[in-house]
Amino acid sequence: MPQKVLRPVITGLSGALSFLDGVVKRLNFAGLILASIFLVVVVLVGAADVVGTNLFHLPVPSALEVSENAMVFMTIGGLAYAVQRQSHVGVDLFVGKFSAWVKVLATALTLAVSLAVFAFLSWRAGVLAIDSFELNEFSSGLLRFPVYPAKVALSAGCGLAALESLRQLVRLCMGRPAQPDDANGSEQIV
Amino acid sequence: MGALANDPILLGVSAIALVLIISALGVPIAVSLTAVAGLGMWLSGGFNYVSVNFETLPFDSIANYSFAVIPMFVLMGAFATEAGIVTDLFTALNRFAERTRGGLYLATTAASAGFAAISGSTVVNAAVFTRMALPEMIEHGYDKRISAGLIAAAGTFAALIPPSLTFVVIGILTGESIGALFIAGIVPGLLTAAAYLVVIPVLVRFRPDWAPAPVGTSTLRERVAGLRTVWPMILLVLIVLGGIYSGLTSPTSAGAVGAAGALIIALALRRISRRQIWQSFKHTAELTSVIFFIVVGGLLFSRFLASSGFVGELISMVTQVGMSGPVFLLAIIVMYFILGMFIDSMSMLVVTLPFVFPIMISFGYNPLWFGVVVTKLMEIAVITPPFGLNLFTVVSASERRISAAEMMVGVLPFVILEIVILAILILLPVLSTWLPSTMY
Repeated sequence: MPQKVLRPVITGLSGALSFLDGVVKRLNFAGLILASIFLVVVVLVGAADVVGTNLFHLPVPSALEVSENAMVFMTIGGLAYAVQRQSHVGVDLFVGKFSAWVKVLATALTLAVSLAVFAFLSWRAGVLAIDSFELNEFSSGLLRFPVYPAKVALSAGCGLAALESLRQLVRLCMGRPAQPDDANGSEQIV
Repeated sequence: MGALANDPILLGVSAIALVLIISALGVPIAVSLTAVAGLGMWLSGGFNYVSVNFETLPFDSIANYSFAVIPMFVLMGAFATEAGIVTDLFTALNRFAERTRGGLYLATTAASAGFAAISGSTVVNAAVFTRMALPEMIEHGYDKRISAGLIAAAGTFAALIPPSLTFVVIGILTGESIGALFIAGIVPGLLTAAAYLVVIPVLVRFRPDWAPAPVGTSTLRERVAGLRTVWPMILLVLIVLGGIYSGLTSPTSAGAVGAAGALIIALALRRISRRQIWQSFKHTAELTSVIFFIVVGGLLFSRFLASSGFVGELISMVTQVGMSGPVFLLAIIVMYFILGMFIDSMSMLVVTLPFVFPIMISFGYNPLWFGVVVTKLMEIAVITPPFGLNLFTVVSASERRISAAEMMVGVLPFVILEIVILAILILLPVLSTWLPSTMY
């Protein structure tokens, strides 16, 4: 009897979680697109500034300030997507040798610590953004623009990474651990 | 807890041990560094101290034009690879080397060095040449173990030959000029490539079974014609290194021009599709956020070690026990050799550099020279069995053409060669310091 009553609740909960799962993944991808757009901005501004300065003695106004603010959107935009693809560099030497249960516990620890770190970073960046907004902080240079949007982006990017860690933690607790979307996702660096 | 907070050495050592332990459990190194840095700051300076640092440092680190050098060079390398610029270089060089026994080894070495000048990643370099050169080597009867070993080892040229991601991270972590580090790496990088080009024919002479007899078929005209296809590579190298060396551009601006230039060349040659452009942007954005997070974690950890008094105490401890500079350097080399067997070079760098670098500088060593030595140690780490990152990259990119055991045997001659080159770079600091001293 209780099973009959609980079944629709469980089905509804499961459906809601699947929906949220999809929403978080879409947000991660949107962040990546935003990062790519700002990557184009940094390339264009940087190249135009070099060419303008050296060939025509016409530097791009506030190129440095624009690039520095664009850098924040660019670097933070892909953070949650990287967490989703499990691309962050780790020492996986010992993990492969763990038994199934220890592996689950280690993954839970990884996700819990990641969640805490990203959430804390998001919170502090949020405080920084509010301060910047209240103080009416503007960039220095010829073109003056507010700095708080970049700080909001930092907070949002870390917040999204925290949400992605939470998504993976919930899936792990439900016995359906998240897999990296792409088999070649573990991109190494140096 | 009280004992920890009052003893900077105990606190610092515990923090480093904790980073290694939780990283071994699978926590990404950036997360481990950030979490432990936060915990350490809280113990040594209280919650306000943690809050202030976590508020200001991440934003200040990212909103920094110098940091943009990483995505610019990653993007340039991605466009160049997608446009087949590297393949052209390899084909052209192979035509010149095919009349020599071991010609494919030489072509791979030279092309790897060329690709290193537009790519900063040793792993990307090794993966590209595994797909491009390894099947051809095996098909022509080259020893597959040595072929794979060479590809893994030559892939590490990207760490020394600028633009190098390792140098960028060292520059950000230590505050040294990234441009000067780039220029310091040129002579050691070229020396390494030259050493390979000299030693390989000697090895092949003593072990003819490692390479088949040469079968050169291309005419002089074909060889010269092949050179016409390498102009995009030469142009990109001139733009990037010429701009930095002359002082006309900062490393970041040179990277921006290089990335735009690589895309324009690829479009002009009609060798890149919209999908490939999107893939390049996507790859760069993702990789940038991964590197950014490691660097921010490393900087937070570094600030914690410095502010807790650990670095200062360690320097005075090293001085008090009468440890000389060379002995400390030897200790560092041994430490990196051992760590390099188990953890990747980027993680090793961000965990150790915050305390190793200030001590080396306190001994009066040249920071650029030390940057080069550390980078060479990182190069060796990625090809040191049993867990060198480049070894696994080659094995996984070889599509079962080579096993891990064969790989480990094949790379050994090059590990020995790298150790000899490391010794030369240590004994002759001028190789690293001369060129930067002539800069703008």
